Amino acid sequence: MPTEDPLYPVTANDELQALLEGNGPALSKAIESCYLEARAHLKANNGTSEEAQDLVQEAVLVALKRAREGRLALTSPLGAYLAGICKNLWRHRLREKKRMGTVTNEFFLEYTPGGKSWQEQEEEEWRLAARQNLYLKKLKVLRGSCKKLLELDANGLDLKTIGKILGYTYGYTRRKKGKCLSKLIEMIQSDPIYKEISHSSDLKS
Amino acid sequence: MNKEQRIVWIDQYLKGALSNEERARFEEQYRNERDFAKAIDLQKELGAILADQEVLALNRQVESVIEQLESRAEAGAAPILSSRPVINWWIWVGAGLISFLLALSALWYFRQQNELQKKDVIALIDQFMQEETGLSDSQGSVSRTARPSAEESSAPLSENTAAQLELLYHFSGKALLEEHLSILNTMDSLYRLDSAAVQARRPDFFLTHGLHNLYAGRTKEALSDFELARPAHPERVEWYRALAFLKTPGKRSEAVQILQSIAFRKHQYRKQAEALLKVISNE
Repeated sequence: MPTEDPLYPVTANDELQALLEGNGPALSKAIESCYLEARAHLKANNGTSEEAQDLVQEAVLVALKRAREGRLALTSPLGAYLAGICKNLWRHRLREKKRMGTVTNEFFLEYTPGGKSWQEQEEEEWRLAARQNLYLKKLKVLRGSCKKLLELDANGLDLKTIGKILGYTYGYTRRKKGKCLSKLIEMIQSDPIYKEISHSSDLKS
Repeated sequence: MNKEQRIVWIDQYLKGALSNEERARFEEQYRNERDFAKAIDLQKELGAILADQEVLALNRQVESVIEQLESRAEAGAAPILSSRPVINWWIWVGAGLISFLLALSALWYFRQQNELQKKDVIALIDQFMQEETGLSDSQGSVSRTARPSAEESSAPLSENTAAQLELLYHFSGKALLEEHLSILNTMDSLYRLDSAAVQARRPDFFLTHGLHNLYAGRTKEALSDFELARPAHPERVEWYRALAFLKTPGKRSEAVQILQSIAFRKHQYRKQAEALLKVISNE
């Protein structure tokens, strides 16, 4: 567990652990410094605080994915690392908007590319984080009972058990799940950002 | 199949709840319809997010930290950026510069006005004194309204002294500083040479002496002279004392007090005192 004790300074491992656990003062500090940097960066580029919040959410998702895949080796504080990702995410967004130039990214050097080019791999990573952030944002808009039902369903519980938990009949739970899922997907697809960050339309084998 | 039915169908496929026949039909559609693959990916990712407790916890953590930062900023505790788009600092710098220049101009204007009003008071004093002692207008014609009359004299002057005093009266209105000093020297010599004659016209002598001192800026000496002239010329002395105080730094309140006492009673300098008080009150 990360600690604020000066005798035991927060290490990169503590921060990584905090990131994976999703709590702790080390993570809060990292998020705070990342957000402030992101806001300062966006200020210089005509951005807003909402965009800065989106960037931080996406940067955290990217970092978590890398940590889970064992591709995150922190050589600087987590806050600075997240801020670096934010900066690159913002540049990526600008490039998407302008459709011009290439993005210089120091984080490309952190991992060995697979079958895809570095740029493709990173762009895929960023698009995924942006989609995940969009899903989370829309989930917040969804009604409490709908949200609960979908979470329980996603966690593998059968509809009978979910019905018992929520006090619904099996038939009602099944119908409600269909409607809630449909509503959530409709909200996601109707968001203008979704078109920019949606999956490639190539057919998968 | 409507949109909702399709979503449920995809959901059943992802959970492995379709029969073999249904599964084959589903995969057939997946191969043939480009957008179908995208719809499946979306639901797959959505399901993964909904089941990922770490992601949900992280999302809540980020939201909570940012919310705290923003509320601290709103309360003025943390100097973080506002949620509005960027402020153009050049506008603020320009506005600041313009405000500074305006303030500077206003300051300069009021100082000028103040100087002007001070000059006005001094000019008015000089004008009053010239009317009283200079006895000359701009064309150089001479009047003698303030010259001591023969009736005022308690004893006749010797001819020589009388002639010299006549000359002094004549010059006093047009005199410059050096001339006033020169006149004062002459008067002092006269006092030494013919003190008896001077003593005979003592109040007039000292009133004139005091006025030249006042002209020359020697207010302390002027005030002493006026005290000696007071018995014969109480109202004049009162008026000139006020003017002497006005010319003395830090003595304005004494001057105003005397001027007010002149202005609120029957007095030969009442109008002048009123005019002077009006100018002073506008400063």
